[in-house]
Amino acid sequence: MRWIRWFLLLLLWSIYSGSVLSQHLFFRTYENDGADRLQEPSCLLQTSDGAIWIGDEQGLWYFDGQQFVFQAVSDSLVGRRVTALMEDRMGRLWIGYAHGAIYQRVPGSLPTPWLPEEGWPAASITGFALDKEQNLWWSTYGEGVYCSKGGYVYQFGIDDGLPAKDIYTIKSDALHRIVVAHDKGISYLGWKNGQKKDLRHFTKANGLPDDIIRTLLPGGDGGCWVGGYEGGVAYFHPDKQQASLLPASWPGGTVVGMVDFGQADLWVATTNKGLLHWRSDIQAWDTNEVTNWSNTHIQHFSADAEGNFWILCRNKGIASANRRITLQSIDIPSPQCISASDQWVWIGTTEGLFRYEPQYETIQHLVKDANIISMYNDAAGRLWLGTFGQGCLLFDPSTLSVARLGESEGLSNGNILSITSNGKDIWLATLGGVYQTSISNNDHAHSKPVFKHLSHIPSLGQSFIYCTLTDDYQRTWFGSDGKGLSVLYPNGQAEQFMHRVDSSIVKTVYSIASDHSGTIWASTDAGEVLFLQDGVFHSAPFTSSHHAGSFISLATDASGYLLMIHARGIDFWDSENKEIIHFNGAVGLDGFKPPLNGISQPLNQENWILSEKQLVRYHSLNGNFRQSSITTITGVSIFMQPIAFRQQNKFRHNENNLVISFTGFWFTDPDDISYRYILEGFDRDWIYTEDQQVVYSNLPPGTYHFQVQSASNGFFENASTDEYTFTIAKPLWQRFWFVFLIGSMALAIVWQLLKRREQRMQREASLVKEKIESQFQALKSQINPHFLFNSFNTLVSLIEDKPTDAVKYVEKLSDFYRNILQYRESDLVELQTEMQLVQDFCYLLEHRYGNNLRIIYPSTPTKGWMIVPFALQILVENAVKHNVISKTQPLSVQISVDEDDYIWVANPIQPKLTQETSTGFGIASIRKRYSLLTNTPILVDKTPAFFKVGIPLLKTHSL
Amino acid sequence: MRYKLFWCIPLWILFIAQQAYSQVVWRSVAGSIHFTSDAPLELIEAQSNELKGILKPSDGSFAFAVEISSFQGFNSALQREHFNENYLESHRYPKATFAGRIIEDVDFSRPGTYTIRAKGVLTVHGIEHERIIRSEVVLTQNELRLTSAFTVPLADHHISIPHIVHQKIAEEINVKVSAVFKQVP
Repeated sequence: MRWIRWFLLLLLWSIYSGSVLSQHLFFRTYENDGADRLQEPSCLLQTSDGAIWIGDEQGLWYFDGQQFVFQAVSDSLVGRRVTALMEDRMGRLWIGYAHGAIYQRVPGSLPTPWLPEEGWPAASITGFALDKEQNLWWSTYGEGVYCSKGGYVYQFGIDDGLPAKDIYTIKSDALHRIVVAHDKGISYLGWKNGQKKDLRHFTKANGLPDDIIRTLLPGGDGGCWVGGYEGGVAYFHPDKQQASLLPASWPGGTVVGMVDFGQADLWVATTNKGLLHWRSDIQAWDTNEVTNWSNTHIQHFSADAEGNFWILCRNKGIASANRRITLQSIDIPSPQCISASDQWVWIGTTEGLFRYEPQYETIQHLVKDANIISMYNDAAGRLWLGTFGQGCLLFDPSTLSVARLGESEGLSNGNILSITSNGKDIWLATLGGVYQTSISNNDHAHSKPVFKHLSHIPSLGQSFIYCTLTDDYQRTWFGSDGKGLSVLYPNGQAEQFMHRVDSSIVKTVYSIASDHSGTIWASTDAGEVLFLQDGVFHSAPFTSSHHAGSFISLATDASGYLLMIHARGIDFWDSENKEIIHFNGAVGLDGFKPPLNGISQPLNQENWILSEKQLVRYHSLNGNFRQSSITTITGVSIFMQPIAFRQQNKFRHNENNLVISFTGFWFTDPDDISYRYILEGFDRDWIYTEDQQVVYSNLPPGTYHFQVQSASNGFFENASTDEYTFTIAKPLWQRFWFVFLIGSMALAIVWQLLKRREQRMQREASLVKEKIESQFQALKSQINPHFLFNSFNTLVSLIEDKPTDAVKYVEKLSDFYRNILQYRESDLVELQTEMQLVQDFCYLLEHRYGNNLRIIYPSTPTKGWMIVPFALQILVENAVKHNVISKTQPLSVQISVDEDDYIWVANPIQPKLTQETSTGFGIASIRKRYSLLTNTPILVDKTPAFFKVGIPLLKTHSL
Repeated sequence: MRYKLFWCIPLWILFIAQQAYSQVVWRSVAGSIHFTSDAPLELIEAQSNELKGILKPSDGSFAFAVEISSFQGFNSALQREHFNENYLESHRYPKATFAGRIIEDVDFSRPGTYTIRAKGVLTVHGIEHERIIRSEVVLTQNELRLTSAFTVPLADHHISIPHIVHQKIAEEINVKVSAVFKQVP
């Protein structure tokens, strides 16, 4: 009959062990369909601005969690395989190609070739590294290693002692030493005294797992994880010159990538055995991920700044998973509470107690017929199980014996919702108040504990107590229905907290947690999270829509940070950095319905979290992992034209239509990202959006400061910010100097005009004055008695001799005077008119002097010329007046026009014996009048024999 | 005995052929080196046609040498004297050499144009410096034409320039090399 019992046991075991799948990471694969498709991606890098860069057969891709964007570089690089990526300290991205080309990309601009004088290798670039002096090193598959130093490129090849020329990878370790992996082990490369090549080689003789080393992962202490072709993984320290192999047999496969999350949390990707996890707690390789990734041809394996794994493989494309969450489906009826010990995870259900053994992935149903709702693992390894209506069960895992504790042990209420202990005393929160018993009195497994009802402390509450927790200060906290939160101090004193900071009342507390700073957190029946400060409740700073309408279980992770589990997922709150991470479907939580006691206390960096269908292992990541998104402005366009905005931020007045694009990089859950932005100088307040760009059109001139933040969960306090300050210049006509210039120019013009007008008026006034004077003079001379006397004398003789001539003479005389009257008002007269006047005048003179006076007129046509009136007449009169005219000395006055447009009046000098007194008015008057009309001077040419006066003729149109 | 000898003949031929192939050497029949110092105040150029080179295709090794005193074409005779006596000290270091190995595996039996990188030790002014020098090589049936351009910073070869003539001599000298090689059995 013994075999039947064994058979049944085996059957039972197999049923439950078959019902669980292994704990696994939740990988999300990224699809990119269509023409723009990644083809055999082989390298991936996250830069400090948050973006992920991927190299594939076609070139370089940019990935923001949502879409893949191909980076067109230049035609010559189309279809060139990118094989290596690195970011340097200045944020420049170094890109290595399969054909040996090296490009670099400065943030905000396109990649440009990096061309040393020595040229590019003719072999594939397999990696980049920077040493202590920031010299660039790159490894090649076929030509060894290169180093750019002091303006030269040096090669480390076989002739320098490098054992192999095909280099798989190059890394800079924690002490900035350059280490490369090849077919003959690993080599440390450097410069001795900064000049001489220094090479040190280590092989299998130094304990390396394999001759062929494919991967390197620098550790924090200056050592390096090395991954072999088939020998597995070891940790090598060059100072010890000896590698230490992991104490477990290698499951097999070629190492293609390693990720070390610290504290011996090492993950290794292999070509054919998938993903392996080194579990330091069991000192063995966890091969849970093998099934998911075996024979997928993993090409690349790394982690980003958030603690996400990234895998590139030929068959599955690109996938990522968050290290914090591993999970598995479970099929256990109505799970209600969970607790973890070193070896086992205990799950309480309506059907009893289940034991899960993570190492072997088995689950066993140990205690039946008990509705277990709460649980406590004491220091002796015993389990205190709180049931709903059946009292308390004390379970001993070593003997599988169960002791029922009920009314006979003083436990008058059998509904135990929560259990806690300070290691010495244990407290049970029941629907009938708090019960206490001592653990130390129960060393013998057989003697049952005796419970004490704490009814003598009224402030603890006497009816429904939902939760209890003992904190690091040995204070025991109770959350009740109706009486808020109360505390029992180690000295037996108790206190009650019900008030919020706004004096409203908190009656019901569902869950309590105490974080690393000792702050007490409580969740209420309204789905709120509160913390206690100075004896009053404050709302948590992160209260968000995620929580509304569900109860929240609180716990702390291994580092003492708050964890909240609720129907919408798991929230992690870092109270120091004020950052919240929300985990939900994006990390694989599916149909997540955690019970109130569904999270275990932290143990070995982990909390176990229970949901109806899933068992989640939350791994807290210590170290510098990002807990919030990185915000980066990815582009600025002016009128749809992208600009190099990191270099350019000054725009003209008409370049005022800006599109600013930005991305919040949060690969844990890219869909959860939202943004807020403000354009200082334009927007009054933050603007919240889900879009990744903002359009500003028609911005007025001014200086603007654009800030954008991104956050998952809509929690923007302490969110990362990127900013861009730019200036739109004032248009020309609004700038001070331009206005000033134009104003002063206008003033100058007006002043000029005024000045010229004044000059003109002055000139006109003097002209008028001159004219009047000349008229006066002319009149004076013409009616001077001498002239009249002579004229009349001539007339008398004519009347007697030639009466007809006398009539003509009188006519000429009157013509002459009429002309004087007619033209005295004019500034200018036509030369013809003046000539006519002179001819009339001369007619009068000729009669007086007979043939002794000869006037010779010019032969050239005189039309179209202007002259000052009476100018010629005055000159002729002067000639007659100052010279002797007699039969023996006849006078000939010549009027002529020369080619310089002067009209000349010339006469020989025949001085009179008695000089007629000259007023000197004649020429002076002409000169004055001319000076007001033209710059051309009056010419006077006086020789002993001749006297000549030249008067410039004026063209009609020149006036 | 006779049979043994018979078998030895092809082996012997093979050995001879191997020897002959590995012994093939290309020797320069014409070689010139030209340098330019482009300083703010003066452009100095000089050239030597006495560049000698040898190249072993079997392992890609090579050696070049030039007599420093063979450079001609300075701006003045005095300048050439200074070059030889003050800067390059040609009486102490009569030659500049570059010897090493070609990084690429070039098949010297196939005519064509190749860009090669020669890795070697450049010795100027008695100072050795490891350099990679990129060159263009045009291979025809029986001729190899090589052209190359590179820079030599004076400080790297401990050639110090008095401060007074700093503006007349560039800190980096541009060098151009061209050579024609012929196979020598």
